[in-house]
Amino acid sequence: MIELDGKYKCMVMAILLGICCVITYYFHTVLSICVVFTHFFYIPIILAAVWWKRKGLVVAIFLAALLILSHRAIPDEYVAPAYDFIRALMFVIVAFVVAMLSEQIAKAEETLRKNKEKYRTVIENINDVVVALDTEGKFTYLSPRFEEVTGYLPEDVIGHPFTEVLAPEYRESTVERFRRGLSGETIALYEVDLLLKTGKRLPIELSVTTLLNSDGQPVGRLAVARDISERKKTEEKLRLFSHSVDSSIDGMAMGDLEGRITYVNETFTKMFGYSREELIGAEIASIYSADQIPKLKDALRTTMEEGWTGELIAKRKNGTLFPIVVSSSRVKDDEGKVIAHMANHRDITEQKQREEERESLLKELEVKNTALDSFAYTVSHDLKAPLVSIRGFAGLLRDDLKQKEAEGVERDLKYIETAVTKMNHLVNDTLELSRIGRVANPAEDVPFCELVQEAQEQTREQLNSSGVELSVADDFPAVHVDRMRIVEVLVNLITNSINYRGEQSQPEIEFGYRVEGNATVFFVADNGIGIDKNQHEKVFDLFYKVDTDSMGTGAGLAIVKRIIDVHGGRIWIESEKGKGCTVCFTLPLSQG
Amino acid sequence: MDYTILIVDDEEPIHKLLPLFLVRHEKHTFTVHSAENGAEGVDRYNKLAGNGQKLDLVLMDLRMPVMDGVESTIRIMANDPKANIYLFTAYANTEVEQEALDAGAKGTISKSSDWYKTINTIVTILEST
Repeated sequence: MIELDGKYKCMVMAILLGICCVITYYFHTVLSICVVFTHFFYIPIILAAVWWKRKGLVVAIFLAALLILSHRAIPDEYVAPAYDFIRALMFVIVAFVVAMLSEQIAKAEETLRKNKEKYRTVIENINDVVVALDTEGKFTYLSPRFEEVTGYLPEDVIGHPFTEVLAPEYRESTVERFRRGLSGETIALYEVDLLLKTGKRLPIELSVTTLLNSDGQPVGRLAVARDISERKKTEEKLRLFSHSVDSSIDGMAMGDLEGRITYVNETFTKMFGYSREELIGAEIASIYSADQIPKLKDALRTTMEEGWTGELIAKRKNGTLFPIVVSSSRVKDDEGKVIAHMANHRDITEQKQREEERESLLKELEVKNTALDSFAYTVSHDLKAPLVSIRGFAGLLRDDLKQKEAEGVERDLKYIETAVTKMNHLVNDTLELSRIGRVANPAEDVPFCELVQEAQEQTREQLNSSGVELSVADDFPAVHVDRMRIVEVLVNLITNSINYRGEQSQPEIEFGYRVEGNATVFFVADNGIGIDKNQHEKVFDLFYKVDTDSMGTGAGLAIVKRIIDVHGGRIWIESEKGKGCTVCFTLPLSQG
Repeated sequence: MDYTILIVDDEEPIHKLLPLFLVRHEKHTFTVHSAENGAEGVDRYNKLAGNGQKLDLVLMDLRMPVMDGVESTIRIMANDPKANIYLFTAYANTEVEQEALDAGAKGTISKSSDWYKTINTIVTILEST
């Protein structure tokens, strides 16, 4: 179709119409014949109808009128013959038909143009990059976003294969997909990395469809590429977050508003001994000790209001209980609505144990401090006593020497010597007491009767000379003790029983044991003078003497008690004055 | 003046020392009774008091077998609230000493100082009573 500007169209039309007039004049006036070469007339008629549609009818009507009216110029014929009327009518009809057709074509073209415009606007304004490829995979169209995103100029890329803008590792697989797509297979969304002009990479998501011609034959592929770098970053962040939650040393769990578990990390599953599958969907209350439920309910309520931190007693799958510290907070959605709660759980069994140990150590320390105070007092007091004597007799000695009182000098010296000897004993016993616990032989399993025999050997002479009868039970259990120290205890007890046998005509000592609940109580019983009830505890004090005439320093039972204490045992006296004395004690039994 | 003193102490040398020093005092004469522990001390005091004998001073040790100085002081004071008991100890300023003072002992005479000083203190106390 000839496309001309309106001005030129008018000029062309004027020329054509001029020619028509000349032809008419020539045939009618010059040749004076009725016939006119009207075939030419159809040229301006059709052109006018094509150009101006129905308005173009004016040309047809003009030419029809010209044909009919020009007959007046013919001398013999004033009236146009009938066939010219038919011709004139044909002019108008042809013009009308062409105008109608032309109008329809213009309308269709307009619609097409508008559609094209619309799609172009869409393609060129969407955020995604749109490219068209021919069947060989070469670029035939690039939306303007292509240049913005990749940095490539259209002229550098159009006509080049798409693989040139892909990261190398994606080329092969993408070509493969391209082929499969062309052959009619539907290809799902897939992700590749673009190679940008700067050399950097850009992750994109591709959605590609095949372009078909009117015959349904593939003519290329249309690809829509979406920049997913932000999404990738978010995914990476999520992955890192999820990884850090999963590998947290604390047990992390999420619960829904109905009080059911919706998420747990690995530490949590290990802490409680359940599998993830067992925990998801389980009621939160089911992993706590039954008596914790009211506290748990309070905790959940507080969590929903402001968050909660506190201690709870949790229950493992195997039913064992353990203390944990829970710190929980609510989880909100984008609109600020609470949708869940998240809690972090830490097993504080060890911490609790340490606290208890510390408490008990402090208590022990307190007891020891008191004992040390008392020990210091006793030792100072008792060591001072001989010093007082020495000082006194030294004073007297000076006077006696001045006055040359030989007898007095002798007496003073004797007292000083005695005091020094006593002091020596006190110091030795104090040292001995301090050695127990500091210097220990390793504990061993030994039958208790062997220890009794050894003690008996060591005191044989005293037993014989005092005439004390010794009876020993024959079914003693074995004990786990420092052998030498326990023999020392037994020797001490035998010696005490001999020393305090009193006026007993048939002095006896009995070694035995009895079982009281879980404890095995060993005892050494005699039929001597016994000990008054109010002295049962005092006799174990350092340097405590039942009476002034007692032999030794009074450290014996203190040493005995210390040895039993170091073994983790207990020692006490069961006696009444005049009715003999029974010393009872416990010792660690052999585990074998 | 002739003064009567009861010394309650488990250390035998003390029983010996006290009269040996007192006898050297030029102004006064002394009668010294001794007991080896608290229980004996109470018996002795009661017996002497029961015989109408006046005891001017009781010197009471604190740490003794059978019955300690505190218990002994309590018992003597219970029987004779006017008893003039002084603690006679080498180790002063203890809780036990305070207990005995609360029980009625009048004061403390230190054993550990020079014996002549100790005797002077005893005489001063006796003269002031």
